[in-house]
Order: sequence, then C-alpha cells, then structure tokens
Amino acid sequence: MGLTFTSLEFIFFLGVCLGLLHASGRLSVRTWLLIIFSYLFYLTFGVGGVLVVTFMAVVDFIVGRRLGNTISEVTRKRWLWAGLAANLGPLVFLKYSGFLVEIVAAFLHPLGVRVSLPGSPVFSIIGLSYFTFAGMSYVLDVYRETMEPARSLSEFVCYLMYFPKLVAGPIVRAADFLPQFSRGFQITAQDFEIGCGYLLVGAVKKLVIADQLASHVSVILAAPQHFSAFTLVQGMIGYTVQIYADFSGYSDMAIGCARLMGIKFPQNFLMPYSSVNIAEFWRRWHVTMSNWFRDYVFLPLEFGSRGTRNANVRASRNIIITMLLCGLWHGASWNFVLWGGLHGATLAVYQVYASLRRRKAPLPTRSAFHPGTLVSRALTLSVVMVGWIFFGTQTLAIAFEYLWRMLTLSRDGVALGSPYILPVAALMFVAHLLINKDRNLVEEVSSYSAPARVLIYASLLMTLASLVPADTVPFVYVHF
Amino acid sequence: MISPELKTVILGALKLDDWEFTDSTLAAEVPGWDSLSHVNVVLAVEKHFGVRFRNVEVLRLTNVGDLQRLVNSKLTNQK
Repeated sequence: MGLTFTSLEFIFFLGVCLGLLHASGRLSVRTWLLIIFSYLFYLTFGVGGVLVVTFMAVVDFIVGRRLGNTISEVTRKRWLWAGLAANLGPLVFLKYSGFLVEIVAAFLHPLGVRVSLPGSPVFSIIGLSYFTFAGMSYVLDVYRETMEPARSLSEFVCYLMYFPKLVAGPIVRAADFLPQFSRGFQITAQDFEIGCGYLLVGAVKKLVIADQLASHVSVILAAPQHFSAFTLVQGMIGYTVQIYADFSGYSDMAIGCARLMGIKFPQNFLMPYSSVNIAEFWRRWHVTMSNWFRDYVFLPLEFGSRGTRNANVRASRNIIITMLLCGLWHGASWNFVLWGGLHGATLAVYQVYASLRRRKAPLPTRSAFHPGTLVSRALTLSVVMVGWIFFGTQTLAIAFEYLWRMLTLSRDGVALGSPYILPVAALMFVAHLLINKDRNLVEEVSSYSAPARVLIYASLLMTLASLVPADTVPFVYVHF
Repeated sequence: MISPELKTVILGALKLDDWEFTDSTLAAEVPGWDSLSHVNVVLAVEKHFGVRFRNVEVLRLTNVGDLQRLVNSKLTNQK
C-alpha cells in the first residue's frame, strides 16, 4: 500500500509534478501544486495519516505565530507545551499506547490484575514519527528564537507535507527548508543532473543490493534456531548491509526528488560503516535523526542537569536516556529499546574513555589501511552489527537465541551458503576502504567530464535494468 | 573577534594544545568538540568568567562568535 519511490507509478507521478511545477510561474501556484501532490501522495497510504498531519500542520503553524507574537516568557512556555503536546499526543496514542499498556500489564500481573492488551499500535500511520519530529523541531526552534515563524499556512503545510521526505525522512528542519522557498523551486541544469544521480544511486542501493539481500536475510532472522552459527553470521552481515543500502538508498532518492525541485536536503548517511568509534558512527548514521536527538533531547538534558558534580555520570546518564528514546522512536518494542540501550551504553563508555584521554593535538588523518584504523573500524562495526540483530528480529527471545547460537558456534541447523551475502558484503567492505568517507560522489560526478558522466550513469542504469529482483520489498525504515 | 581568554578556556576544556578560532568557527570543526564535550566547554566558560547562561541562551549558540557575544553581554550586564 502506498506509492513507493522505486515504482513506475511514482516515476510517472514525479514527472507530472515536475512538469507542472516547471510550467507554473508564480511561487504561490507552485506551493499549492506541491501541497496537492503531497496530499495525493500521502492519500495512497490511507486517510488517517492525512488527517493527522493536517491537524499537526495547522496547530504547529498557529503555535509558531503565537510564539512569534508573544513576549511574556510564561505565556510563550505555555504555547510551547501546547505545541509539543499536539505533536506528541497523536504519536504516543497511535504508536505507543499498546506498548505502554503492555508495560503496565506486566507490572500489574504479579498483583493478580489482568489487563487486556491491544498488542499493537492503535493505527499504523506511515511517516508519523518523521513528520511529528519535523513539527516539534519547528515549534522548538521558534520558541528558542533561532528562526522566525513561517509566513503563511500554505508555506508551512508545504514544508510539513513535502512528499519527498514525508514518509521516511530525512527529518528536514523548517529552518533549513523555509529559507529555500525564496528560490521558488527553480532548478539549474546541475540540480537536475545531481537529482537524477541521487535517484539512480538510491534505486541501485535499494533494488539491487537491499532487496536482493532481503530474501536471503529475512529467512535467517526469522528463525535462527534452524541455522548454524556460520549461517547466522552471514545473516547478521547481510542485514547490516541490507539496512544500510535500504535506508541510505531511500534517503538518496528523497534527496534526489527534492533536488529536482531545487530544494537541498541535508545528507542522511555519511558512510557510517567507516566510523572508527561509536560517537563517529552516530555522526554518520541517520544524521538528521541523530542531530534531532542531540539538539532537542541530549543537549537540553545536559544543560538541565549541569549541576551534577561528576561530568561523566551526568553525560553517561543523559546519553543512555537519549539513546533509549532513540530506540523507542524506531518502534514500540523491547527490541528497539534494547538496541538503543546497547548503543547508549557503548556511547557512554566511549564518552568516559574520551574524557580521560590526555592533552592531544588534532588527530592526524590516518589511512583507511592503517592497522589502528582497521581495528577501530572492526570494533565499531562489531558493536553495530550485534545491535542490528535486535533491530532485525521480531522478539527479544529470537534476538538472544540468535546471539547465543553465534557465540556458542552452534553447528546444528542448516548451513546456508548464500551466493549473494558474502560477495556483496565484500564489495561494500572494499568500497569503504577505498572511498574517502567524507566525499560525496554523487555531487562530485556532476563535475566530471561528459564521457565519464555518461559512462557512470549508463552503468547505473544497466545495473538497475539487469539486477532488479522480481519481487519488490518494502522500504524498511518506512515502518518507523 | 575571539578573545585570547575565551580561546584559552575552550582549549583547556577540550584538552587541546592549540586551535585558531574565528567568529564563524563551528564546534564541529574543532577536534574533540562534539555534543559529548559541549556542556563541559560551556561550564568551563561559565566558571572562568563567573557568569551563568540560561539553557535557552546556550541552545541558541551556532558558532564560537555567538559564544563570545554571549559572554560579553553577560559581563556587560554584571557591571
């Protein structure tokens, strides 16, 4: 259900949208065109989401105007809380009510009190986590006076509902998006080429890498008890590559769609698997989300608790709280909470280690082939891969079974030799060694010579044409 | 312009030997200055200059120049 970026229908939808945008002269017409197209896009996922996001857009806009016009700090704070409640209320009710009831039931059960459980979210609203966070960032930025309120409701609705980012991010802030309105969705030839480049690269990552892996990996993740440790390791590696290719592929396509309208989105993935420590990983993985949690959860917690005597205790506690919430953001399940907790604990340990390091000069840039770099990358990736087991399995029991069977080198079960997982993982590994992690190849390619560009884009198209699997797999991160 | 005094405080908090700060320097550009060390830098600045920042004032900072201006305004208000 819903229009996916990798479908032919979406290409047609996007083409019509771009054509009409290009044909319209005035910014107001283009704004309303985008609103209409965004509503049409979101309606393919159901009516519920459309109602929720419309409600949030109207409330956030009103709150923003009130915050901009009010001087009294007490009143401004009330408007802030009203805005946050209007965003969080639907999110908590629609996504987490079942989980919260489950927790309450677990507490009450030993007392003999039984609570009937809905078991799952009340309604599944695709994109809810994403646009809720976008709305909250707007309210908070206006409150903090780091941006002016949106000038018109249509401008704000266009921002919140903008279809390239609506269902799975990037979590673009109004402070980054609204100033680009003044350019009126004009595009240059370079914008067009780069936009198409992002769409191509994203489609290859999603259709050729992620979807091909999914069919092999999903079987292993669903029932680890049937597989040997060697197969489970392959499954873990496969999922590690799959989730990166799936989500970064989606983000690339979102960035590409926006670029075709002259809108620049922030990068969401900066070769995270090249990270040498867990802090760097979180500066490179799902960047817009981690920045959101940094700016609106972690730093306020830090400044709010700065009276704590021991800096390491303060920071560690706030890191763990933030990462637990980050895990919960992904879904109402203990698997995600534990995943967040694992990352939080690792980050806290790293934070203490970093704070105890002696006086240092700026670290010289080491080659990716330096033994120290390789070891650091391997250690970081190991933690990340273990975390993905919690992320990719349905229950904690399955996750722990998975880990236990790997740790104990279980030999019973099927030894599945996937012809795809290890070769793809090897290719990714080599690419991460050879490519500088701070380069953006898609943007760079547009400055190459014409023959080189034709060769590269043609290769990507041919790869798509020849290696797309018969069955499509939904984007993983759309479910968060 | 970033005062030598503020520069010394920041370098000390980050345990850094030296770094060139300008008004437009971003925290992300300075080795070791990330979200994990940010509060420690701010607390060191508060302690050294004998000022106290409101949380919202700190959360508004975008670069070192903003920090310098905030320190200057607090010191001016104290006089």
